[in-house]
Formats: sequence, structure tokens, C-alpha cells
Amino acid sequence: MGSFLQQAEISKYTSLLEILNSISTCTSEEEIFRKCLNQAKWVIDFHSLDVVFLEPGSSSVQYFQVMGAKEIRPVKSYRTSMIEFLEESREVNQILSRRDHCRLFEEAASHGLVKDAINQVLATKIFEEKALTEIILFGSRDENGFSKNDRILLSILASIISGSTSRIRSSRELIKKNERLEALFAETEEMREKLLSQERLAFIGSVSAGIAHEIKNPLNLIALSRSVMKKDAEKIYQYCKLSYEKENEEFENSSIKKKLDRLLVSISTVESQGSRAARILNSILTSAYADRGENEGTRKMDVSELILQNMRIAFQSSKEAMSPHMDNLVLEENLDKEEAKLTIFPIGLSKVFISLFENALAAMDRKCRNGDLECYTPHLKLESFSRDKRYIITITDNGEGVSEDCIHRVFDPFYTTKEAGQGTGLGLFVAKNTILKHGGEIHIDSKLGEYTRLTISLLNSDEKEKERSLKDAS
Amino acid sequence: MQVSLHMVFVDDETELFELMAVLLEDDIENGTINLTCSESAEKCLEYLDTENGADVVLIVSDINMPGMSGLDLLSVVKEQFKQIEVYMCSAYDTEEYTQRAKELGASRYLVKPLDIELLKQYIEESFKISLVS
Repeated sequence: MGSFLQQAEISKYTSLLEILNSISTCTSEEEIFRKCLNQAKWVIDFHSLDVVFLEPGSSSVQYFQVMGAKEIRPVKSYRTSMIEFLEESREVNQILSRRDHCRLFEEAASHGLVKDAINQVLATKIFEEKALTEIILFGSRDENGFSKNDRILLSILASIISGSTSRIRSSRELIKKNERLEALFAETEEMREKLLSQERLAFIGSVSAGIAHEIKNPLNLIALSRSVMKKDAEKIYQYCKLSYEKENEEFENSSIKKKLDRLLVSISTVESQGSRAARILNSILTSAYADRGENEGTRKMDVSELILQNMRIAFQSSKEAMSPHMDNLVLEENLDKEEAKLTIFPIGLSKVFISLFENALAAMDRKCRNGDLECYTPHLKLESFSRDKRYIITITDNGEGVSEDCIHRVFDPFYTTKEAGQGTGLGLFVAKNTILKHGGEIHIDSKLGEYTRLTISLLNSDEKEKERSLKDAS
Repeated sequence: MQVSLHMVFVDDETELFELMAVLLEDDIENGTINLTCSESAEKCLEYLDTENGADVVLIVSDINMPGMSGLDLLSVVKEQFKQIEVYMCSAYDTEEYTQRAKELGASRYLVKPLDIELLKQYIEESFKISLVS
């Protein structure tokens, strides 16, 4: 008889090992609990199983009623005084009365989760790095509660359960951490790309400024030589005229006069083209300096106001050169003024807006000149809104649009569709550079003959500040 | 006879010297202007210390030159030869340069490509003389 009992005890331990084996592949707490219930009830007699997960430093706990509930799912509860008591007591395995068990879940009790028939509860505490992370509670309906042997078996079962749940929890944590790392990596990669393109833009800017200066010196020599040529050509002209008159020969139709006239025309071409080259160089240099000027400092100001102000400036400065039909321009404005206070480089950003508006006006003006005026009303739409810590501005014109072939080149330096001598091709290049410096982005989309839309997204630094002050406070 | 206005033109691009002489030739011929050209700031300072350089009243100098820059020259001249007026002339048209030139005492700042008529106009205003246009 004794050996039979011994064998029965041994088979219980074997069954526990089987449970350990079968739950080692589980992927969720629910699965673990279900398997435990199915297999353990053949080994040990218990009538309730509850598992509480605690998070160190948090006042809420996660509570699973494993036995008796229709479905095993976590219920949120809070750290009751009973849990705190368990946390402080030194015993790993604690026997609780039914009342204690109720007190453990004052909150959960309201969900009808506590069973009346339980007489005794065995609470096994699981610690991780000295902090209580899990409490596993077995309940018994037996009047005398659990036997000594049962307690030993239950505490082993508790270790088996906690071993598997902690494996699942830490792998879940790992996945979360991994996701966070991946997000961080993507963010870093994006930042690196942005910095690289910013660096590239700055490099192109400084190289073009350097070239501009170097060209100015030979241009200076050309300009002065041209002055000398003009002066001497005029003198020769006068001298020849006098000589012809002295000899009573006709100067007007002489071949020397024709040659001198041609020379003077050529000289004036050198003059006009020289000043054109100087103008281009100056605008390259101005944009390069505009860029440098932004380092002077940021200011917090109303961007919606800045947009409208620069719209007016661009309109006034373009007005004279534009077709009279542009007076019919419809301005649709829908700017978010509530969230418009941003920390920006005011001079740099003003230049960006002016250049974008000038482009938009020019695109509509060209459509006025080339199209059917009766069917066309120039329309400029300004919109802005705040989303995801960003202030997003769109400027849409119904001008001639940009062709698909050109659209990917519009931010390149020196790319222009304007007539020779009209633009330097630096407007959008500098705009992009400036927006990048604001930690923002600029995009263009367009349909040829229909519209062009520029979307600028600026960082709402207020959010940044808020975050920082919140962090500081905590 | 009228005393000529002795000016020194300082630039490391010596091809400019001939051109300046031609462009100012009428005023040089009639004795209004006495033009001396110097290829560096150092040579200009040396010249100012010679007997010939004693009557210099105007220096028109480039800024970016090997060795002493035009701004260095400006500050030395303003210290040692207070009576001499200095015009700066540069391809660089930056606030940084113009401000610095002004602080050091330059009376004019000309941007390259040099407009010779503007230079003449400045000289007429500074020295109350009239030049051949």
C-alpha cells in the first residue's frame, strides 16, 4: 500500500513535468493558463486559480481569473492594501482566508469574480530583481484547506506558471523594445538623410557663392576694358568724322563709319551682357548670404500673419509686370491662427514665402497671357492646419502648372523655366534649404495646365517645449 | 597751375592699372589727377613713406589680396596718414565687409565690377573738383 502511494506521488511529479513541457511552447498567458487547468486538475485538487501581474512602480495591476470565468482575459485592477501587505510580508507562500481573498480584489469583486465557496487561498509570490511581479492564487473549497503535499505541488505549479508567463512577458517586452529601436533607427536614418541633403545644399550654396566671387574679378576687368574700348571707339569716330569733313568726303555712307558703328554696337552688347552676368552673380550671392543671415537667431511669431504679409509684398512687387487680368485674382484664405505661433527664422522664412508667392503669381500670369481669358480666373488658395506636432501650410495656385518631367527638378539649384535673364533658378532651392533648417519639409505636386500646390510642414516647437517642460517637471 | 589730386590705386590684378590709366587719361593729361598704381597693400604703404608719396590724398584699394588685405591697409592708413581718404573696392558686397570698412574709416565702398563713372563722381564730391566726363 505504501509503495502504491509513493508511486502515485511520483506520477504527480511526472505530470507536473509534462505540464512544464507542454506549456513551454505557449505564446500567450491565456494559453498557458488553459493548458495548466486542463492538465493540473488530474494532479492536484484546487477550485480556483487567479493570477495577478504587478508592474513595479505602477499603481495598477493586471488580474486574470483563470478558473470559473467563461473566457480568460485580463482585468485591470489597482494595488489594494492587501496586495501591499503581501508585498511587504517575507513569506513566499502565504495562506489567506476567504475574506483576505476578497479584500485582495475589492475592485475586481465588483465584477463578480470572487467565488463564495472558497475556504482557503494559497498565494505564491514571484519576485524579479527583488520586486514583486506576480502573485499566483490557488483556492480550495475543502474545509481544511490544502494539505501539506498539495501546497508543495501547488508551489511547484506556481513556479512553472510564472516561469512561462515571465518568458512570454519578457519576449513581448523584447518585441516592444525592438519595435521602439526600429522606429528610432528609422528616425535616425531619416534625420541622417535630411542632414546629408542639408549639407549638400549648403555645400552647393557655398561653392556657387565662391564661383560667383571668382567670376566677379574677370568680369571687373571685362567691364573696365569695355569702358576703355567705348571711350577710344568714340574718339576714333570723332577723329574719322573730322578727317572726312576736312577732305570733303562723305562720312555718313563710308565703310569706316559702318565698321565703327558695328564696333560701338558690339561694345554696348558687351556692356549689357556684362551687367546681366553681374546681376545673376549678385542674386546668387544674395541668396547665399540670405542663407547665412538665418543663423542670426530665431523668433517666436505668428506664421499665419507672416504668410499674409509676404503675400501682400509679393503681389505689390509683381503687380506692375503682370497682365491686367491678374487684378481679378481670387484669394481664398483658410489659415489656422490658433496654433500659428512658431519659433522660426523670420527673415529666412519671409524670403521663402515671397519666392513661393512670386512663383505662384508668375504661373497664373503666364496662364493669363497664353490662355483664354474668358474661361480663366486666377485663384490662389492658402491653407494651414496643425497636425501631429506640425504646422502644415499649403499654397495652391491654378496657374499653368509644372510638367511631370520637370517636377522632380524644381528644387535643384539653377533650374529655371523662366526666360534667360529672368530668373536665377535659386528661389525654390533656397526655399528648400531654409525649410530644412527649420526641421521642416517642403513638397510640390502639380498637374500641367491646372494647378501647382506647395506643402510646407514646419515643426511646432511649442510642442517640443511642452514636452521638455513636462519631462523636467516629472 | 592747379595742384593735382594724387591717388593710389591698389589691386593685385595688375592688368587693371593700364585700364585705369586709360579711363582717367583726360584728367591725368590735364593735370587734375596724378595716378599711382600699386600691386599690394605693403607696396602702397612703402610708397606713402617715400618723397613721391607724400602728397597722396586718396587710396582706392581692393580688399581681397595676397598678404595684407585692403581692410588691413585701411586701418594702418587711418592710423598713420589721417589726411588720406580711402575708398574700398571689392567683389564682396556683404554687410560684414561694408560695415567693417565703414567702422575702420573708409569713406566709400565700391562693388566690382567697378563703375568708373561712379568712382569719378565720388572723387568729385570728396574733393570738390570737376573731372572730364
